[in-house]
Amino acid sequence: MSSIAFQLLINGLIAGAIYALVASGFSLIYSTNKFIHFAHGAVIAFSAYVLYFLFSILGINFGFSVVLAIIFASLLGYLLDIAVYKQLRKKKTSSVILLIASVGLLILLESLILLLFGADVKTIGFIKGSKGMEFLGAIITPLQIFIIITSIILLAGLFLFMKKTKLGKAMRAVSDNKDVAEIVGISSEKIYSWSFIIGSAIAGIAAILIGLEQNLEPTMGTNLMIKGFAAAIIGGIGSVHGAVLGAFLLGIVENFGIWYLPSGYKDAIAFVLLFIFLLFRPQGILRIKRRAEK
Amino acid sequence: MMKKQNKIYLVIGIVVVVLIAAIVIFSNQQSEEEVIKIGAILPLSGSNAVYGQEIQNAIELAREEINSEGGINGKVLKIIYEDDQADPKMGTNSMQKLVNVEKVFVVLGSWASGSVVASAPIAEENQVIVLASAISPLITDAGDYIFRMQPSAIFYTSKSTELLRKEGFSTAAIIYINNEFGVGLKNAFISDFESRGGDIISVEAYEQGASDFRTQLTKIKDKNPEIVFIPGYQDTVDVIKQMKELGIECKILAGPPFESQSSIEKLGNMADGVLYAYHFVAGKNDTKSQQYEQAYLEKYGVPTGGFAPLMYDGTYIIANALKKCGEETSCIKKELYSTEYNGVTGKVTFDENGDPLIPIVIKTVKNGKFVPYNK
Amino acid sequence: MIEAYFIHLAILVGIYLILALSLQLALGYTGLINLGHIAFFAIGAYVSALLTLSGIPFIIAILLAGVISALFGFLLSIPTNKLKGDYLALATLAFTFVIYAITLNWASLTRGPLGLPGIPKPSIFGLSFSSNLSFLILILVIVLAVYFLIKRIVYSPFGKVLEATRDNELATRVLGKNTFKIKSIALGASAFFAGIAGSLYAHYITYIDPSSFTIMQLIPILCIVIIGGLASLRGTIIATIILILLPEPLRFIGFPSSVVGPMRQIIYALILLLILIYRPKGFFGKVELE
Repeated sequence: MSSIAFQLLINGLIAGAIYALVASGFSLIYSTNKFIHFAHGAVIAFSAYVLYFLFSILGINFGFSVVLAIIFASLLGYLLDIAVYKQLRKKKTSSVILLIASVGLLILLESLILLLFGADVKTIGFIKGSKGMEFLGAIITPLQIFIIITSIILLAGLFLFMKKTKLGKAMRAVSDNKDVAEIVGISSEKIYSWSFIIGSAIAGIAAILIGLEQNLEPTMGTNLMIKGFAAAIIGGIGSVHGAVLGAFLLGIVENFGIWYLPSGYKDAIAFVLLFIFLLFRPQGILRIKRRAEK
Repeated sequence: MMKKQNKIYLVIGIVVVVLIAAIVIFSNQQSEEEVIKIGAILPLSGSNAVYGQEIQNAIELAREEINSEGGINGKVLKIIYEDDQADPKMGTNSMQKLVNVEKVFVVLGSWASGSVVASAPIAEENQVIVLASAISPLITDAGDYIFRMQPSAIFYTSKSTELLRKEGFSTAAIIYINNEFGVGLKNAFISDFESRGGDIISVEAYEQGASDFRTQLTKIKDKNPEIVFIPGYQDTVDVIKQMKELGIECKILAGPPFESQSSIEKLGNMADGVLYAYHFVAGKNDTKSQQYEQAYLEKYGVPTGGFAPLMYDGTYIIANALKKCGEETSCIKKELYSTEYNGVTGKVTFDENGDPLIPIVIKTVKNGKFVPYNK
Repeated sequence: MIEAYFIHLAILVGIYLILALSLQLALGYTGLINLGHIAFFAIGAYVSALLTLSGIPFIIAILLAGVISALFGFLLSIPTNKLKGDYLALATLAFTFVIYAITLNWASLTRGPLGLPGIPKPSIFGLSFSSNLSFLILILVIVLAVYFLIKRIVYSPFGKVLEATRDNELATRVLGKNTFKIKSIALGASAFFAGIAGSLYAHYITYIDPSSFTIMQLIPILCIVIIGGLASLRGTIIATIILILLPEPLRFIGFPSSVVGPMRQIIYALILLLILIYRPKGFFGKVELE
């Protein structure tokens, strides 16, 4: 019996790693911009499809395709900021309007994917199916190991970036208190743009890994976004470590949950947790306050 | 200021409405030649388009042949296709459009059981004949005007469980697609397998459109079944791939949609040895079958298979009824119930529920080809 | 043939109008950022479908659909009462997901993803509304009733209190009004009408499943309410007609339905974004979305 428990743990870690990649980019954008960028999921979906298009349709070398897809993700995020969010910011609209706008963007981009690529499931045929490796009674494939490792490296890199680099510190400054940051000479508009560029680049990496591990279908963006968002809320939105904690927790709870419940309840677990946390503990487990972090 | 705004927007509204009316009327300036039109609902796009496509090929082949031989008493047979993407919501919309707007009196299809079950009540209420190609046992009682060319799931599972028990399989797991099709097959299999003394040790479901089955397969692996039954659509291929990844090595029994070139292409030699119950075997001896297989190959460049032969026969059966009855659906209905048609799928008759009586055969994959299974 | 098509469009306009007016009550007049409105639509649809499929007469089913939706609206207002702005929006959005998860997984009641086929056409005291034309007449009657009811509410003193709550809840409380009760009633009433719309939808399409009620279906309604303008009934009516009719020519230019679907959503999303950026009051709105 313990081997299934270990397999569920592994599955939970894999899912957690994927959610962490989604949630961390999203959280970076949220903590800097202070609104929910729902369209983040669509950036991920679109980038995965771009990878599919470049590699599986046009036949471009895989390495190149990956790089191009990540650049595309960054650009798309940046574009969404400039074209839509910035225009709304100019009018000093509330974060609610930005949220509604982001939902509109999510639907827009997903429908675009549906239109351009069709409703059928697509596969990025880079890795051929084969038996996974056995590890303490559980099976894990090389790709899955790669996902977990990449996720950890990326997140570590993100922490270092936020702590050590000038840009990272500037982002934290804007996140803590935009007005004070501006007094010190930091251009908040520039920081907003950077948060979208970097956050969306992480989304691009997430897209590559998810696209290889799972198949592509047009609504994948919404599904990932709900999970990533749930992870961020559970862990504590407004901080990247909160998002990561929430992501791994969610992944593990989901997979152990369906040991007892029928498998169809897996998504329901995320929805119910999200709903409960929003109602009763919106600061999340780490009690992240929306403004300053003491 | 307000008043002027109001006027502007009212004008916009009127313009929009007039625009639509114009387009609508314009698009109907077609000559009403002597046509007799029927409808067809198929998955023409989306993940399951491969099945809708092959059925459409067969229907078109039949239609052309019928029209070249004088049509329906001199009138040209025309078919209005609707795409349901194997989704019951879209199937319902398609049926409503065909019945209420296009006002057809016969509808071929659909292929997806969910789509048929959802849309059949609309047809039945309006006394429109439906000739579907779907497996769910619920279609048996769907209505007096509802017929199908594919036998009910219980015939498939009866045959397959008989074989499995004879070959000594006692424990089975099922991972099924959670829609009308999958549920129908799952229930029929459980009932048949258990009544033959077998043991169902794990039942897992996945949603239509899902691509990650690791959770369900992990639980199945834990139970160690001798055989896994996968009633699924194209996703069966991914289930099998992930089974291999997780190291599940037992025998596999698939559902009818497994017989499709894409299964072989995607699985390679992982497809060898997979069993499935089926309603058609190619290469029969009679002239009609040979002519059909030849014509299909010539016209479409690929050998026929899957659900195409069912609806090739189906189109002819409908055409014959139309020749006798015109557009009178209660007459067509009576004709169908008393049909005895020698088609490429064998001798076709319908029982009192509108279900066909066609023999079921167990097939498997050998060296990349779909062949009858010989022990 | 063409008349059949126009009747179909008119019925859709009617159903969406009721749904949009109900959202207007909560969002436009009371300032409740309820992004979970589709959940009430779903509850109404499922309740009405399940009741009529068990033989309960339509008139009881549709009323119960409204009442049970209203009950959920009421219940939702309790824990969300203290929430403001985007947390309220998110919590209500999450509510849609939870209802989706319930309809998907409580298969013994709802048949899960298999949905409920064969929902009977309405029949009131033996009079059957099975033809589309008769259904249209039924809808027209209900739309008029709903419109006048909502109009009475918003132009009444209670309506003034709703708008006061929207504009400045604190001040309204200071003046002695129980804003909690007011918001609960507003959300409950909004949910009631959404439930009615849901019932009509179920009985028209005759098939519903969980995927009929997701965030995708929220966009057209949100679009209508914001474009028409918050707190404007007339704006809602005009916006509903225009937005429902607008994508239809696409069908006639010859695009297949697999293209028309996504294009409709793209049009709605684009219009929503443009309005939010360039004209947040909508065309007839009294206030902006705060």
